[in-house]
Amino acid sequence: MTEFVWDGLRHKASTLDRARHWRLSRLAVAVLAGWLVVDVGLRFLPVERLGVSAIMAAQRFTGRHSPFRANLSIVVPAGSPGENAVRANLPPTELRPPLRFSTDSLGYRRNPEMPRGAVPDVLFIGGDSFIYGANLSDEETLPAAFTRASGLLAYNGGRSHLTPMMLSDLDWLLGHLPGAPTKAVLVHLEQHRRRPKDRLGQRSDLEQDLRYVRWIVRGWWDASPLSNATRRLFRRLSNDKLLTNVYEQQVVAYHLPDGHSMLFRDSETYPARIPQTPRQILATSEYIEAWTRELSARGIETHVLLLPTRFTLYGPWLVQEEEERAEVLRAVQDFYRLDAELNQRGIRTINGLDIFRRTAVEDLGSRELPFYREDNHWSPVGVNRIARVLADSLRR
Amino acid sequence: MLFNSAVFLFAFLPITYLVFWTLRGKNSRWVWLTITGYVFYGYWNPKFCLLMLFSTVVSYLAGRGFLRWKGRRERRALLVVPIVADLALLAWFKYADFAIESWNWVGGLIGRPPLAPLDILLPIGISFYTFHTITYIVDAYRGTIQPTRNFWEFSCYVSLFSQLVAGPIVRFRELQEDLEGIDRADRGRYLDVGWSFFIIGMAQKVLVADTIASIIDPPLADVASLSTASAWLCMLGYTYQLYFDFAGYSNMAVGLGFMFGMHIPQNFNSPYKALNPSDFWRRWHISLSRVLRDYLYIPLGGSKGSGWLTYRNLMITMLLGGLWHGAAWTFVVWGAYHGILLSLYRRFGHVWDRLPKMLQQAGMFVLVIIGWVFFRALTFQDATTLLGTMFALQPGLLPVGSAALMVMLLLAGAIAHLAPNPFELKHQWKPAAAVALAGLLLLSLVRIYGAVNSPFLYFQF
Repeated sequence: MTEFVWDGLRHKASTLDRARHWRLSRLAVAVLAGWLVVDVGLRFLPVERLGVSAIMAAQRFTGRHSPFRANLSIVVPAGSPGENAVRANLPPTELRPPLRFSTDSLGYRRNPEMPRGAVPDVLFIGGDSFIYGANLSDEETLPAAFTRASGLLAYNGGRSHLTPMMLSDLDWLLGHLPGAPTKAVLVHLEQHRRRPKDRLGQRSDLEQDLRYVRWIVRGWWDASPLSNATRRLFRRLSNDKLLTNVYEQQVVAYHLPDGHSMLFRDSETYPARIPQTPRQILATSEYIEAWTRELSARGIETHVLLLPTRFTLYGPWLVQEEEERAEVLRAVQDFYRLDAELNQRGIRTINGLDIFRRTAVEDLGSRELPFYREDNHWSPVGVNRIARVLADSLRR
Repeated sequence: MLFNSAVFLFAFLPITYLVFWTLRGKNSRWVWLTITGYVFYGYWNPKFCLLMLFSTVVSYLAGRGFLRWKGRRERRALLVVPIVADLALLAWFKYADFAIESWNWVGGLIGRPPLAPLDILLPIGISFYTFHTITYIVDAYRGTIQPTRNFWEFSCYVSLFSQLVAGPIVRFRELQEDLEGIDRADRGRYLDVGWSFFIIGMAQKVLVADTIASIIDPPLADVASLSTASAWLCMLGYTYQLYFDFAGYSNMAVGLGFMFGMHIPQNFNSPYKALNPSDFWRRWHISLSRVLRDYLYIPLGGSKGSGWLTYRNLMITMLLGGLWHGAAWTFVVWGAYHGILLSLYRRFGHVWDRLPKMLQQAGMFVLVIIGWVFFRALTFQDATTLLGTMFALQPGLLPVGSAALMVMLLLAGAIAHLAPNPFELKHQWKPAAAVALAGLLLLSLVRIYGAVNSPFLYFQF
């Protein structure tokens, strides 16, 4: 019989009676190995059919300079909820129609309004998910709407915030397009603050290699159907009946006049919570200016679109507390300060806050908001509105 | 890196284990465990590896000094200088902002302008590895241990990943024999016992502590809105959460130790079965209690002096023990509270001991819960509000998820009060029990992958 004695410092154990006892170590290793095999194995299947989001699926196995896998076409069935509702584990009240997410041979989101092999007139860069078009179908993305509004062919150079565009990516893209565009729309999101040391991508080959390897590993690891399934399970259980919905605190909800709630995540309230310092505004405008310089050196004229968060846009009408209102209004001022700073530097800007603010009160009362209520992105209504303004601006 | 993370379970542990047992010599195994310790630690913030390296080098050199110099003055210098260096690190990273905050409070009363906080990031586990190095230096000074000449052996001891960031506080003498015989360790001998400890610890942390935390954390974030029943439920939940969180971590550390041929000492001995305050501190965070006893309480005079001197020693030890847990006055009050309990028991223990055992256990448990109020609360105001709600009848609803909470409390209570702890088990599992443990491991994996994982509570200390 085995003996296991604790005498304060030492354990003494003799061998197990194999006939009566199981080797737990083997069983434990088998459980871990089995789990790993299932987890890894599922990642090699078409993960978008196993509950992984289209964006995550598209971000696997990308090319070195591409944000997404090339020549991809994913159809997301009707009924997908907004990201903030998912994040907060709240029952969605705003569901999407079916969406198509497809990419071209370079691994960028396809603009279905632009014929294959055509030379683009305008290149859209920056703006992360707003430009590549999260929660929008190919034909609803800004470059597609812009092409319809202006007649100019627009190339969607939008990338994920995890792989922002570097100069080497831009040069690679320009080198692989059938011809170089003459204009670019650079989109700056309000919540992105730049630091003086932020670079456009003057990196060594080794740095770029490491960045690519890290991205490939991360993109592959993050798209786990097993992880997705277990997360869904816990979200189901965290229904405020069986378990507390601990996810709810990840968003802030404000009521709209029609009784629905608008859900905001941290990144949207960030500009209101943390005021920008003059140094940050300076660094951000220098960063944008550096991009316009680089684009100009490549023969491309840049138009900068400044895009506010939904909270900076609608906050003044949604918040009730005076202190909170003051914070939002300060964010609004910061937004205009950045615009003024860019104009002083001779950079042509299109102020997204101005565009949406004029009709904000009516929009909040209407059923067709330019932004989703339960997602931080804009809806096709907002995209079309911006596209029209951009078309006018670029024509001028 | 957390023990309850995919990167630990599927990358760090298998690689560390396989390479460790492939290597043969002492030096290569010490070097490998040192490297893996730094990877484990640096995964959180690589910069702070330098701090641990500094502390290791200073203490190692002090140990070499003790071997070389025998003079009284030199030995005193070898004792004081590295301890001051270690404590200075701890003071700066852990207590500087606390000192400023306290000064600002006093300054506010006497009209002095406030000082700006330094906002220093607390390096994880600094309290633990600092205690490892300090106990090494003191033991070397006292002649209790023969300091090692081999740097890798010492660095392996300090950076051993299983006990690096949240203890137990293992003294060098407790590991020395295993470290010296690291090349002769028998891989298979303790492997099953190791996995048994590890799985039990994982289940305690991931399935019990984290589930309770997910229910009680939201209501405890707003203590003013709690009813009396909710406050008691939440504090009872926290009492079990803290135990299963920390004991779970310690058991996982013990299990990992076994896998690498090390014997990590017991840190918890069913503390909620304690009959009185002295008994509680012999069962709760045993490694810390021993360090405080051997390196603070006894050097202060222990219980050898008059009654008042003993009370003074008890209070100093517990106050500093409280402060060790966190740089906040709530921890000091928690330490003082236990100091008072220990003193009262010392004075009136003969009366308490005459009570029926069950009453003693229940009474001690309630006293412990009250103490945890100060341990859990972020501010004094929260602590007093919570205590007020617990003892003044405040009507109101039970928190969301209270049905699940009660089930978890019953389960946790049965394990904590009635079941044997892992050190009382034989760890030989018949097929059904082995499959049940494997099932617990599987359930833990489901939770690790699917739920919001919380770090171990003692990481912050």
